Amino acid sequence: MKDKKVKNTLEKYRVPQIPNSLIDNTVGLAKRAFERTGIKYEMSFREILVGQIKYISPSLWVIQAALLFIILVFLLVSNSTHNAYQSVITTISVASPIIALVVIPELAKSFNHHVWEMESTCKFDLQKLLAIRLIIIGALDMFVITIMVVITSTFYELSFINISLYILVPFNMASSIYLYILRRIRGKAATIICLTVGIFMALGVGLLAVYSELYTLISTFIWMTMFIFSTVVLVYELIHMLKSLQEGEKLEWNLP
Amino acid sequence: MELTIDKLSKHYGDSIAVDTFSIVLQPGIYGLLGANGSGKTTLMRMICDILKSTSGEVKYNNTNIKKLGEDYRDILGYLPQHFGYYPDFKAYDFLMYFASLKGLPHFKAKEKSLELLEIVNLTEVKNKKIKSFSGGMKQRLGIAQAMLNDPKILILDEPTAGLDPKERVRFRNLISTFGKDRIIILSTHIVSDVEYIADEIIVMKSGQLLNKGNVTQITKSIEGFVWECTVPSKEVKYLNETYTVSNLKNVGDQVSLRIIADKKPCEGAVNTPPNLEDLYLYYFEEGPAL
Amino acid sequence: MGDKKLIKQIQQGNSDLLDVLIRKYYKDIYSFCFRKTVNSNIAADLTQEVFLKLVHYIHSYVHDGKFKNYLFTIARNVCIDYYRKNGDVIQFSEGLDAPANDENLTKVEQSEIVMQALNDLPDIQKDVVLLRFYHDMKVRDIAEITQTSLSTTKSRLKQGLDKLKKIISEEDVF
Ligand SMILES: Nc1ncnc2c1ncn2[C@@H]1O[C@H](COP(=O)(O)OP(=O)(O)OP(=O)(O)O)[C@@H](O)[C@H]1O
Ligand SMILES: [Mg+2]
Repeated sequence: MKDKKVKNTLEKYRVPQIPNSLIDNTVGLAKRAFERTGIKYEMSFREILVGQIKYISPSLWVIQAALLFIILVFLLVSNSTHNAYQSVITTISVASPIIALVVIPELAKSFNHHVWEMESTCKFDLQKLLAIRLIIIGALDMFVITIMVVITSTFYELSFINISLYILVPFNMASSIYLYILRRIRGKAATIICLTVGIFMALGVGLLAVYSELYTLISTFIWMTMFIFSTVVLVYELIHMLKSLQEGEKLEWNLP
Repeated sequence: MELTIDKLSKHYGDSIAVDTFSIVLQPGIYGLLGANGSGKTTLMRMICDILKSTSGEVKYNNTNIKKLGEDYRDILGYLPQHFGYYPDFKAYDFLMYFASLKGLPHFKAKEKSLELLEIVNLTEVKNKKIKSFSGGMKQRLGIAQAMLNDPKILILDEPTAGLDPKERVRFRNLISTFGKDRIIILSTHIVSDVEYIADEIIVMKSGQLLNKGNVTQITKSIEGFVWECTVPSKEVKYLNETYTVSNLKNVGDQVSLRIIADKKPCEGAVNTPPNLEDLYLYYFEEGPAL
Repeated sequence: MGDKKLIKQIQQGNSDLLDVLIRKYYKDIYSFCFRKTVNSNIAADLTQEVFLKLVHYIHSYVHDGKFKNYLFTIARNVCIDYYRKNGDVIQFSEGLDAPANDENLTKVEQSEIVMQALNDLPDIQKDVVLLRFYHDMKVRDIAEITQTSLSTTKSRLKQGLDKLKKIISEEDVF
């Protein structure tokens, strides 16, 4: 006898119909029992992170996308200029402090709109909230930077490593300065000062890049050292900022 | 459940906003009364652990709230005196945003937000931008925000500011039904907001705890200081300048006055039982900000 | 909606989806319990118990892609508990669906023969056969539910089947 035949035979054994009332009864009982149990659901970090993405200001995505578009246009147009190399270096140097700038209004918004008091008393307090915002925007920045690096290293004779360094070093330095300003200066002024400093920095780095020989003169080793140094400074500033959020007093950025 | 405030002080340079304030709170509704600048907001911020005290501590069930951290915030609801919102937020978004920060799972967050919008009478405008709201509507939204996580400790800093009389009544009903098994502290200048719903009144002056107790207990402290008299209208000006007048009404060409004074203010004045309004005026002579 | 999403939302407090989840699996669990007890009243009771147990555990349930296994593990344990309390006797409460004509007669007869044959199997073999043929489960999942190794499960399935074949082929109604 084959298994198939057994299966067919077994199928002859049917179970009597259950009245729907019995099912309803069980469902009712179960629901009542369920409502007596407390919810113990704990959100995972991933859930919290994903949940916050939709609360990042829509303008940030728009600005970042517009920036990326402009940068790409500049990078591609550079190809036809007589000094393509210099043009590319200038573009990426000017771009990086500006990309870093996008995060600032987002970090300051809790204070600018006076929402921080409520946010600070939530389970995931201001410190965690800003850390999450930083992670989201940081990931976005890295995405933009990656695109820049990939495009540049494909279309121009520049090594992947060098391009990354040329972008990341000013990015780190600019970010550290912005965070320092946010930490030191209170109120709406902080955002405005950051914006001003950012633009001047972009101009400064831009001017520097006009003498693009400087970039190649400095050895990759020194660039690497600068990168490590600027990363350390940035991490220091980040930790400092997040710590300062924990102490209520220092939050008084924007007294009513 | 017990919230202990132990010799809590806050100094700003030379000025003292809260001065060695101590009190033990059991479940119940507490009305925190005090004139402008008496330190109510400063005290509440320290209870919420968003302002560092200069000295002293706040304990929940005998553990310092700083140590409890997230667990404390999980049972805390706070409505600040001045609060804002992100400009692109609609009423429903606002609540969903805070629900997410309070760790409510998505389904629960939706359920609770809609329920609270109904309670504070904002269901019809739940998809309108907060920008377009009146002051009272914003205030109600703020109250809903504080209640999202079903807090065991609810701290409301002037929750009735900007509410019209009808909404005030709604608010009082809401708080008195919500109040079971929780510690609710609400600050106000408006005596009638707390007179009937608070289990206990806490009177604060210059950062210090002046008096506490239920309405009968604390009004007893000024028994014999409240007078009623009826005088010709020409005498009113003098009495008003000399004494604190808590009420005044015209009776024909005479005027009936309610005066708070240590001694009999005028001929024919008789003592009457004090109410909370009288007490407030007695302590804060400049008169309440109505 | 998949089980994963259903359960996640239930864990977040959505009791309407508990309704959906129970109805989705009710017949499955009920027929398992029925074939274990051959009594529709007892089966209904046990099914109810299974779902009440599920409610009790649901907040700590971690989804690993096999909710059905989890539910059947509960069901099997509930049945085992029932026999532990009530002894190993099967109480026949009723005949299977009442017949009206000749064709039905053979059907009922066939059904009763299979039922009898299954009941003659030792419980450990019966469980494996039930899960394999009526609930379409893979041997690996059955091993997980019965908390035995893959090879043991395989040999139980084989032994059970051999016995069944023997019993059934002695009858001539098929
Ligand atoms: N950040 C600060 N720096 C300096 N002084 C402050 C600060 N915050 C509050 N104060 C002072 O502390 C005192 C108490 O202020 P607080 O805001 O707590 O009073 P309040 O009772 O809430 O008043 P109101 O009824 O007006 O809300 C006031 O004298 C105020 O000026
Ligand atoms: Mg105040």
